[in-house]
Amino acid sequence: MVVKKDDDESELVFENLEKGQVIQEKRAFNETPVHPRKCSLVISQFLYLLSRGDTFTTTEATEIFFAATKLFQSKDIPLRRLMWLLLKEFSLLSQDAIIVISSLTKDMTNPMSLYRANAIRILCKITDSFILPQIDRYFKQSIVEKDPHVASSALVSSIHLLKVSPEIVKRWVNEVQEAVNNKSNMVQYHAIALLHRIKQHDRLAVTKAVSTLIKGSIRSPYSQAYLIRCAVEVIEETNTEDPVFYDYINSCLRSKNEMVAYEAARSICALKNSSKKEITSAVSVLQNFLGSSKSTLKFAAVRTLNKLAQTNPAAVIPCNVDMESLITDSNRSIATLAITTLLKIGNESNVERLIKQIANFLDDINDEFKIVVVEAVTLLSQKFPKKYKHLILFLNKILRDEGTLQLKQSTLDAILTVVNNIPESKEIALTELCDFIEDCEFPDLSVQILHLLGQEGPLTSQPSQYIRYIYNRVLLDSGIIRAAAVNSIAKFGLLYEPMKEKVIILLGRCLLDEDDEVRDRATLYLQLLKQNNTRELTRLLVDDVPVPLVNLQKSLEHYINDGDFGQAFDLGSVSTVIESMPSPILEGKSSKQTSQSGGVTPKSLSTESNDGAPESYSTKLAQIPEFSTFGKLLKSSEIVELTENETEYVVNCVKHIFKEHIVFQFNCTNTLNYQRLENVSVKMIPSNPKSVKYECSIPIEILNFDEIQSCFVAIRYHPDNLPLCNFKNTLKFRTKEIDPSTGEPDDQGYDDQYSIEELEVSVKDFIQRTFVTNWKEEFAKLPEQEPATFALVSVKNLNDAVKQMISTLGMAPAEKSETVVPKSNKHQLFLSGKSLSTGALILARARMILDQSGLNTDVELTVKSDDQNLIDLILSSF
Amino acid sequence: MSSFLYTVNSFFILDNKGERVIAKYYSNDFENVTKQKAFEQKVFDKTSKVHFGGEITLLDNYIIVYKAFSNIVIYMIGDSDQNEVALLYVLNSFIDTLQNLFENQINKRTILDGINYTLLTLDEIIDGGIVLESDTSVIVDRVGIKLPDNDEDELGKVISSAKEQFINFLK
Repeated sequence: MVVKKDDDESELVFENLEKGQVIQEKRAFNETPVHPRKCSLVISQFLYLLSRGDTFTTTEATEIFFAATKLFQSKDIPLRRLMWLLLKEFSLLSQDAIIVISSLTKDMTNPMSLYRANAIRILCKITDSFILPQIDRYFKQSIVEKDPHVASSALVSSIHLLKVSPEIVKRWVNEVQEAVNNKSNMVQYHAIALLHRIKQHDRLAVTKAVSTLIKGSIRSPYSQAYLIRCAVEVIEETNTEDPVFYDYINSCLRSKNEMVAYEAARSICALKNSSKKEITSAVSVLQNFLGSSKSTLKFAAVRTLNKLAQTNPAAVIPCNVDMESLITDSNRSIATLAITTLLKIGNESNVERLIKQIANFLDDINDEFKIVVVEAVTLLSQKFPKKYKHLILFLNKILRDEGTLQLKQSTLDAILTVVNNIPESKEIALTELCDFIEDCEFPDLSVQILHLLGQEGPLTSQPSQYIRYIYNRVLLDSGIIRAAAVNSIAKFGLLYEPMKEKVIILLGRCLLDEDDEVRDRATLYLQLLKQNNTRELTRLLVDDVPVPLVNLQKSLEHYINDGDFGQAFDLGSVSTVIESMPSPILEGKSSKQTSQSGGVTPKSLSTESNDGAPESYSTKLAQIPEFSTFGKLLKSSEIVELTENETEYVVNCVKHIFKEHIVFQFNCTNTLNYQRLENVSVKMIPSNPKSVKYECSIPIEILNFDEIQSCFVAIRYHPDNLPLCNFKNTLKFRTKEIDPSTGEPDDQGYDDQYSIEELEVSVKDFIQRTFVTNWKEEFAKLPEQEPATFALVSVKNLNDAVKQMISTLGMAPAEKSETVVPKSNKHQLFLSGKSLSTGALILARARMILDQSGLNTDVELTVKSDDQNLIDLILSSF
Repeated sequence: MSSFLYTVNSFFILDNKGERVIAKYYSNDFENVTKQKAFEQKVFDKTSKVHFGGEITLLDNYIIVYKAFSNIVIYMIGDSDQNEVALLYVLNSFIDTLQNLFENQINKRTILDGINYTLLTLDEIIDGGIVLESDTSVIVDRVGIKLPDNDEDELGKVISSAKEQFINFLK
């Protein structure tokens, strides 16, 4: 035993240890007779340096390693034990470590098991495929030793060696089989693991071995947990009907050992074909854990239930009460998981109560955690739109309580999301926000809210109620907020005619403001309002910037960084290509997974596009020589999924439109960890072969497990004859099995293919969303066209109809016409776009009305453009 | 799912400022010491925020089980889909063994002064991420094995005297 008094110096000795100084001290190893105590200290110091993170050069390591071999002559056990550890740790850093083999083989004959156990562990480190055959008898004899120390050491070493020389280790299978019967729990576990790994390539042999083992009387917890994992693997890979595997996992649920019971429960929850009864028993095991005093058990249970709630929320409901009590758990990870699980399994009837309950403990939790809650509640609003009132009030409570800007920003974002998704929630949200800005301490938030009030307030049923709150800001707040308030007031004047006179008076009062910006804005708007210049006011106050803001930001950053201000910034140079924009809520969750995969080669066009550069598609495509002659990238489509998310190979596609070419970018993910795919390509068969010419195909050379890479197919078309057709797609590749023990693929492999979904190229792929400043005026200017009428069958509300029209046409809504007045039964939608090939402006007006049955929506669509050909194509898409 | 076999991804002890005392990585997830230490700092930040009162948490793609002592925290890291109960068992084996060897005094000084015991304990519990032994008394035995100093004769004497006693006992 080590007993040390309080002695500051001893701590300093270790903490301030210098590598150079210790290396000098290794001369102690050369002294005869050996001084065990002195040498032990030096070895401890080396080992400490290594675990502290100091690095040794190969020369240093080799010198240390060789000096330490002198200590083989000592018979002092504690010194020997340290020497072995030193040799083991330094064997990988040192050269010619193989030299100690003879000393180690001598130790292998020592009657003390400690010698043999340690020697075999070092042998494993220094051996390679050439040496191993000469010393393999040591492994074979050690594996079957009764002594657990030696047997375990030999077995675990063999597991490591399986990666170095699988062929040789596989020859020890009989010895390993014998070791399974060793009385020691750990030896049994290591033997089972090695046996399983030796047979891993032969599914039949694994199935047989596992089924024999689970029928036997394996009692050791580690072995049981390992066998559960094996049984799961057999079930998943062979789809076996044999109940023996499920029965085994089930029987382990009753284990007294928590590790085993938990392994069984989580396996049942994860297996696709578990029966309802099995899931119920697994959930009840987890439910017990929820009430445990051990944090890890609670965590394990709630984490598993959280996952289960995604696929099978009903199964988790019995744990409702237990989970509610975890909301206030002192371990935040547990509480977070409990809340998100509860929200996942929440239903229309209990969601209100749940929200109230969470509201009760809000005071006890920190801001970071509140953000998690806010995000979960935002998701809930999408699931239960009818509960918007409670959700808005809840979010508003968080907004009003003490908190950091980050929390409040997240909460405000959440409220905005709810307002955007559920138009009915607008009025209550606006009223609450009006109250909030009365004493909001963050100018940033006030500005955003004022913007929202100006944008949405005039369109509500009682616009006048908001103006007082807004004008209060002008009276009481700082310059930046006053300026925002002036904008907001002006919008009321523009968008809500009855208040125009009032607005003119209010703006008049701002003309003497001490802040230049406020005064300038007020003067400008006042002037325009008096002149009734609606067009200019709309341009200033309502219209969006005609390019995506992200792109504008990037371009401006470029402009500033270039430092060449001789030429003014040209808005026209900003790309209007909108790249994939995943939902911000889902993004947070999935980013975790993508960071894990990590193996995206630099060449591939990753769908994650973390860099988010708007030009990234075009710059990356331009680097591919085959495409370099295609000219400028006109448009990239959104990502189209071509497989389910959980299939063996996940494929999605982005269509890149060039003047006379289309490049299909297929992003492929290999989700099978035992396969490596080579020469991956997609074969496309068009339904209308005349309109397209095959240009080239660029396969993925090697696609490893969990990697996302892209292969491409390019076709050529004539701009006068757009290739509007469907493509049948087949993923083709050569597949090679991966040897799990070495991570290397087998040599042969075989060709395989995999059907993926059809892909459509439609007229919207050739239309670019554009923003026109005054839609109605432009529309009137274009030549008259006959409207087309048709019905959107089983579209029962106007909001859906609007969404469908926008997505079918791929054009941008103008004049805020994408917002449907609540409860009305007809609506006009204005859309604008531009032909990719000719650049001709396209404007579309859709008059929509719910038909008498209330089940369908009738549409009268008028499309205007100078490009008659395009009009026909658009109309034919309905 | 990653293998049950490779239970431990990495192990480290940090002091109360988040500085590494010792560490051992069994995977190649972090390619150099700088990245390892950056990860350790992240783990420390996350767990110190709750005053190390949690025992378990998730960070990036790892499960972290830990236990805090007066001026150090011992962390055991596993892959995120690892059986967290198994990981806790490993941590407990390590702590129990040290409690035993250091007479219930685990702190920075005992860890460093008894660095040979600390590192040997780790070596006896985990081999390349695989749990080698979990029984504390066995581990203590294998680490703390203490026979008469540097002389085989002494061992011989002990054995022969035991033999004598045994024979006397039989008589």
